[in-house]
Amino acid sequence: MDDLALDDHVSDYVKSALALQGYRLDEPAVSEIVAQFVRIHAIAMGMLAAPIDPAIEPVPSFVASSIP
Amino acid sequence: MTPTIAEINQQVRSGERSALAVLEETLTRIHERNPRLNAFTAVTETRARLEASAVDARRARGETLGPLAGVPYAVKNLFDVEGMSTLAGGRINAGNDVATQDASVVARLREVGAVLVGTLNMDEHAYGFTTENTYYGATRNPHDATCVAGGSSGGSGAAVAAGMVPLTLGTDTNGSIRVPASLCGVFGLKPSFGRLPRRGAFPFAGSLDHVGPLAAHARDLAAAYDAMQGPDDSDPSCRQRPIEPTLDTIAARPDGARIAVLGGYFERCAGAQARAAVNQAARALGATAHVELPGVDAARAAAFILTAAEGGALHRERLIDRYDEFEPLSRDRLVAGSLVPANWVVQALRIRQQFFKQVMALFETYDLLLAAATPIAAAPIGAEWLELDGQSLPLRPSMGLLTQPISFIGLPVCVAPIWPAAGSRPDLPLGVQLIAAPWRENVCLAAAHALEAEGVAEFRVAN
Repeated sequence: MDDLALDDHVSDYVKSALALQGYRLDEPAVSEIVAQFVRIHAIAMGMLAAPIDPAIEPVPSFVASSIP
Repeated sequence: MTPTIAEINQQVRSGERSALAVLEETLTRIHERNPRLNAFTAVTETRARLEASAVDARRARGETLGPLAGVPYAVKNLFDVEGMSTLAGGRINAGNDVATQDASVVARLREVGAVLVGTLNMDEHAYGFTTENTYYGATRNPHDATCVAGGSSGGSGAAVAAGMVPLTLGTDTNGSIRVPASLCGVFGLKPSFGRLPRRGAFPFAGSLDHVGPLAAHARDLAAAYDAMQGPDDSDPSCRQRPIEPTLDTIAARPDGARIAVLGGYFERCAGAQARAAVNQAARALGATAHVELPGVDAARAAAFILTAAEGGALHRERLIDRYDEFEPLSRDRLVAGSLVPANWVVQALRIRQQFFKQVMALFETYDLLLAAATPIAAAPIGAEWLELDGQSLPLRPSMGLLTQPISFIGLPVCVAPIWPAAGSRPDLPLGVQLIAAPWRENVCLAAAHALEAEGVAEFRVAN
């Protein structure tokens, strides 16, 4: 997928998600939120591509209590 | 030389100065210096006089005074202070009901005799690293008033750096104690996740939020930290660990401690001044090994995603109804964060587990890890970009590049202020992170104290 197509998909996703969540924002605000989400998306892609042990669970907090 | 907490406490205990006299001198300094710096958003003179008078009355009755008796301090304005609306940096919160009780850590400092003199400026809802607050103004760096103080606890850093108070409280989700400590040249402690109670501290990202002190000296951090420790049944995130005092052992030289400098990502994300600061600290502590944290890029990304998602979810309802009242510098990031899909959050949580395991393995070999706290020294207010390793990066989020992976897994970190006289701003300080295994705040604090004792780390009051 080229960058332009990806940006369109992200823009479509943001606009749909905004409506689903109940936001009612004007176009300049939506454009700015799309830009922010493009950045979040780029960062997330690096995270999603990271190698990870499939046995690791998504527990909400790390376990530091085992350290005496 | 700014008096230490112990010195102030001793003067009050001995009767050399009354707590009220200490307070009046403090208020004078605040009124003289704050207008230039905008560190305080409120000065709690009435309460402070009542607390100082209570200390003096206890002394007059021959009662034993607490270890912080008569010590003036101030708190980031996201902590509940009885009788005040908790701003959390937001004009949108100014009309909220007043707090009916102090935050846990404020109550604990009151119990040991500390005197609350005010509340401090911050980035709205702690979402920022520069304390450029549209509604309450930017907090200026006391060492160069054209520069930022760091954030989000910028008022907390500036108030100490300017000598207005010897102690402040801040919070740290991704670096919000460590970044202002670095840029303002003060000591800061982000304890282990779950160590200090967060009840009454306005949240940002619940799985990442920490409470901690900033101070002029490592000993002062330890004194305040010790006073705030202990389980708190009203805070489910606060671990049921006994108090583990650090002040008594802080002077024990970390000789024999296994210390390494973090390389790889932490070198790439550090400018010339930051690398020089780390080198100075490493030489003084005898650290020769260099190690890399595996998976740190993914960890930083995961911390970013969790922060966006948790922060966005926290504010979603009000963002829908009152978007225009939020800080323009962060409201669109918050809205975007509220749209993060669940599978990204799940992946971020898995990465946190994996990263935590990998880093714990490193602590089998080392007791302490060193890294710069910020990529660069304080930047001019309003700056949008920073140059790093030939790349142009957005300045505001990038100030947390070096702190974010560490708090992501809740490690305790002390920042010690170094003056490396290098880089593009050799006149400004830059902090070094002293990172230990969970619950080993004593290791971080002892290292900070050792650096201070050798004159490598130094608090220089800004005039």
